[in-house]
Amino acid sequence: MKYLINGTAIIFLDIDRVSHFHTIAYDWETDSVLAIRPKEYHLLKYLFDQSGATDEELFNYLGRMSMESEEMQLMIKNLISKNLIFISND
Amino acid sequence: MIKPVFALIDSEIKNLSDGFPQKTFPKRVESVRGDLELVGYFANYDNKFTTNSLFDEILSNGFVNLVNSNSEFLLLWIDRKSKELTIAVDQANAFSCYFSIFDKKLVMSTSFAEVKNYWLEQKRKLHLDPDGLFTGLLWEWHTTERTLLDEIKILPAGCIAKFDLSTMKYTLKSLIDLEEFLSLENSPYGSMREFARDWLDIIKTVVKGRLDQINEAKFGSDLSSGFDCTLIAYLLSQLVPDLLLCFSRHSEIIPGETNVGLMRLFAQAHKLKLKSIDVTTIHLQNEDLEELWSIDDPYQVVVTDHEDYLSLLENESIKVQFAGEGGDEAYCSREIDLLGRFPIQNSFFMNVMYLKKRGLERLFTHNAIDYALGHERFNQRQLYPMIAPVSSAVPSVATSWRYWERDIWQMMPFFDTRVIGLARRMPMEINGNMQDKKFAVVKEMTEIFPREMFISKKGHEDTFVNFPRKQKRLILAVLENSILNRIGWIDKDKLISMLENENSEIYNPEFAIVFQNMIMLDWFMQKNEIGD
Repeated sequence: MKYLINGTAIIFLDIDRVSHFHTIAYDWETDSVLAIRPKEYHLLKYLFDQSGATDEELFNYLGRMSMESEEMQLMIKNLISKNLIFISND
Repeated sequence: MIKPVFALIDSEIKNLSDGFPQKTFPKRVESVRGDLELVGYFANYDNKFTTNSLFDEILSNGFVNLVNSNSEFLLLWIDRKSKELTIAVDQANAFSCYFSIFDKKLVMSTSFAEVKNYWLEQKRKLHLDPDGLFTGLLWEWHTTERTLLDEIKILPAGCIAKFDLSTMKYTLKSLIDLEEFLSLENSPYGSMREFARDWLDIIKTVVKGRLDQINEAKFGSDLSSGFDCTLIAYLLSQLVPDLLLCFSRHSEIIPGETNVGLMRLFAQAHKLKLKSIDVTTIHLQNEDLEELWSIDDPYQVVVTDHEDYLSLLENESIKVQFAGEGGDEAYCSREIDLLGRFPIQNSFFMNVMYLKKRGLERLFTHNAIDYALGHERFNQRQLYPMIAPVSSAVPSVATSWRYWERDIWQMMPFFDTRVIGLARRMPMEINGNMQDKKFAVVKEMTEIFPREMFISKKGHEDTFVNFPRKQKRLILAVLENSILNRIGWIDKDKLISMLENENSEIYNPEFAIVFQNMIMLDWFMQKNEIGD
């Protein structure tokens, strides 16, 4: 099982550091613009750079980011519900 | 015919003002004090500045306060001692300022063609800018300094360009203070009735502010069967009874865009004088466009209904034309809190929408789509925030030069930041699309809009299907030597096959628009021998 990012829902730019890693994403299902906070940004960027991540890889990422497991699980669940992340069983 | 602004500037800075013709509105300004010189055009609509106070304002504060006011200007500030030149434009994109550095000279003009032709007259080749080209193909406008051609830049709205005339190095910087604007009161109204009342008041104030500046210039108002220019026309008629003349164009091809019966009903209800022109013939696209297209006009505005409309205004000696551009976007102003802060990201989403969601990618090759949606394309862009509606204000560069030539100025009250500021406070319970939001507000204005007007309005997309139907010879000639094919963005054989099949997607209005853009821009690049 792998967590993958929806590549048309968000774009990562060098200029994002100017906005302190706040950005926007687009939920194509509901046609709505979403505000993305820095913690969400870094998680999504990680998934983008890695071309997806397994549960184990996310656990390791969590350790490096000093993020609580529950916090990250909630964040992932939220981002899945907004069609930014999807799960592939391939 | 008014000539465009044109200046060839080097470190000697001679006779600069010669390149700035007199216009009816906005008036030309010119001032010299010692080594400092100011030249350009200026009008202010919120009583913050006058032409008399302009020089001292720039001397003391630069352009930041001017840019963040409701003004329209193109201004050049020259310091002959330090050999520095600053060019500034207003935040609503009222003036197009194209520039290019050529052999230690700055070439600048309000006309893209003037700068382009200067290069060609010097026997120098121009090259396409892929980002600018794809923007033109999709008609997806955003704030940028880039144009179709790599060598020619445009000064984005609310920006200054500072040139060191000794080295011809320059910097571009936006002076629009978006955060200041977004920090203004934005709590939503509790009552739609109260909002609609204040909405009407603010637009009336803004219209009056503009009317007060045009002095003796003869003015008119655009009119359609929608709610934006009709609201402007109504307010004008209240401010200056008996003086207002309204103008419209209608077509049997797109009766939903301007319903003549509704328009006449509105004009009659408010005692407006109306002149309307039937542009059906133009929309049929029967004429041989190869004979009519101009190598100086990438978007071939001269063969659109714009030309007949402008002739109508010119025949009546109209010098200022009020219009409802930006009205649609105004009703969605709350989105500026997110989209305004992240315009590059928003542009990416627009490209995804056009290409993926609406399927326009089927007109292009994989190479083209990889480029169009590639992160590198957007990563190269600079950030130019804008408060005035980007999708209305920025595309005006395609047509503003025709208005300039005829000494007609377009007046857009919905671009005023006070209107946009109030629109952010629309009651929260209004959901739905742009039209739903607009209906919710204007239906409170029962004294203005007859109930017959509350019908869905279509755009003018249907006119574009006549292009592939009627212009096959031209299209095939362009595709034969296609630059877009050469750079691997289209498959000309596939498009020829689509052209021969009336059931293919290029006969779908949304696809037909992009297809026509492709052929127009390819023709323009071929005729001007643009390199890739």
